[in-house]
Amino acid sequence: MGTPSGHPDGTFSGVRARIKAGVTIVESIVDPLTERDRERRRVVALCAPFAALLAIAGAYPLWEVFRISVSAEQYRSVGFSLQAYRTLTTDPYYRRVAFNSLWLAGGTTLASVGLAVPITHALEKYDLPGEDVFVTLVSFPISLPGIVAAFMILVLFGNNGVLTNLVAVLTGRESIELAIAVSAPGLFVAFCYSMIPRATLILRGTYAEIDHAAEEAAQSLGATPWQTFRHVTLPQIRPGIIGALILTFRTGLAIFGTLIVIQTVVVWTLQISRELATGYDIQVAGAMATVYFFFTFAFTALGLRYTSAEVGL
Amino acid sequence: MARITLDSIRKRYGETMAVDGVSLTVDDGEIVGVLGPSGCGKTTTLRTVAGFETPTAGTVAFDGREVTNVPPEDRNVGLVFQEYALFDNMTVRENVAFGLKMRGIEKTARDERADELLDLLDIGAMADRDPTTLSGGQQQRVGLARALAIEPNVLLLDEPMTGLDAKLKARLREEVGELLSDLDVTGLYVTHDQEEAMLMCDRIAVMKGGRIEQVGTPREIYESPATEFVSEFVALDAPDLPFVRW
Repeated sequence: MGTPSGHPDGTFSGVRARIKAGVTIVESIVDPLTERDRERRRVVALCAPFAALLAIAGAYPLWEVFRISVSAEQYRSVGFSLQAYRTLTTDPYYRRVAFNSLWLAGGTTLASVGLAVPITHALEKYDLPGEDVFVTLVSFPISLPGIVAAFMILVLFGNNGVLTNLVAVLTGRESIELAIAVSAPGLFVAFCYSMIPRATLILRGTYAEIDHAAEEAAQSLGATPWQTFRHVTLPQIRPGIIGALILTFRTGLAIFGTLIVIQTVVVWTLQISRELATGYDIQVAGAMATVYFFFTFAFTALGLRYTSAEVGL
Repeated sequence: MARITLDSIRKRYGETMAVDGVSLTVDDGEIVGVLGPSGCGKTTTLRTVAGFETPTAGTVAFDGREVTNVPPEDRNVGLVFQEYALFDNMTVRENVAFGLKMRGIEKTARDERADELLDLLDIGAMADRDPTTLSGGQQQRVGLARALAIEPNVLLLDEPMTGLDAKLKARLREEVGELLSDLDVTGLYVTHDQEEAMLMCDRIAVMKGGRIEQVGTPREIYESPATEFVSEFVALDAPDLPFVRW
């Protein structure tokens, strides 16, 4: 004898109760009686377009991508094979691509958030002359396609780049020796250029909620500006910093346009493109896309679970 | 404690003159109330004394030493805020001990001092609590203990009772008034509440439009208002106020 809930009858009655409750909720949405019912109907109406979009443009394509990744044949989703996943885990080339993605996204995330904190601090704490222009300059790269950002890096740090030539003139060295655009450092700068505005955007929201009176209290109690930042401001902006780290890391992993121009480091997104465009290995491309999705989702979910970050999935 | 001297303080924000030629002296151990309606410049005056505003003209001196351009962290000023401004990432004890920590005082000594002040303010049992879990009155006591812990030259109180309910306000007014008197603190007490100023302060400066209209004892202000504005502003419902400090 099992427990009532463990008994088949108990299980069925539990399922029946849940179905009944579900039906009641649907009925209350269709024909609302109480204010709670009407509220529920409004929520459903507001979210229905996105739910439809999520199903059509999100869940279904993801499922199809997964099916492709485990397909036993190249151009048809038939059978079941884990060969693509075996390739990803055993082939040193793909492990290196994964490692490249992680260090590039991780490094540029730390650099971007590290630079975004002082920028945001300056913007939010002080009355700066020409602040609007500065804000526009800082946030501008968000609206730039990665490919344009990469082009700008070429214009600045390429063989004939403005800064390259300036340094060449100042140091007397050949500009070709100094050009960094098409190199890992160039790619690093291009990534940061795209990621700093995103980090700044999140941090500005966090700074807007800071208790300025607490900062003034700390100063009046003898704390220097640095001590005030460390003991009072930083604990208040920590959720924003963690949120910025999560968001910019995800951005770093997702960047693709920049890599079309500066292909010096092969990362996950670039490799997916290569699998599709040149290798025609659609199963591996599907497996890479599936791994990418689950990694990003799990990373964000864990980040939110174990921190007080201010960013959504 | 120190003698505060404000000499011809002016503070302009663009076209607006927030403080317009304020001169005021607060003697050692004296509590002076700065009373006036919203926007009269009383908080700007207090912030100028604290060092958060640099006056457009005029000087601030503590015990004859000019501090007009001394940064807030070097003025040794205790500040009590209307909105408490407690550090919610620290316990009550850590809040009170914060100023001592910034002065490099070792943990045992600063905790001892914090506990002593918390006991004095009757909230010793809350030392290990998160300040956000305390009532408004308790939080304000923590704010006061924190400001007093550094043994400030001057204590600045910016509408400390605003937001508290009437019963608590009455009790706190009495307790804090006695405490400040016992500790012989030099203080500037900013408020828009006439009754509070009358009960808590040795003298009152009534402000209007960035200027001081009258400075005097609560009785002088109440019985011999210098201007029609002062007369109207300090008109109280209860003429038999128990003027506790005089």
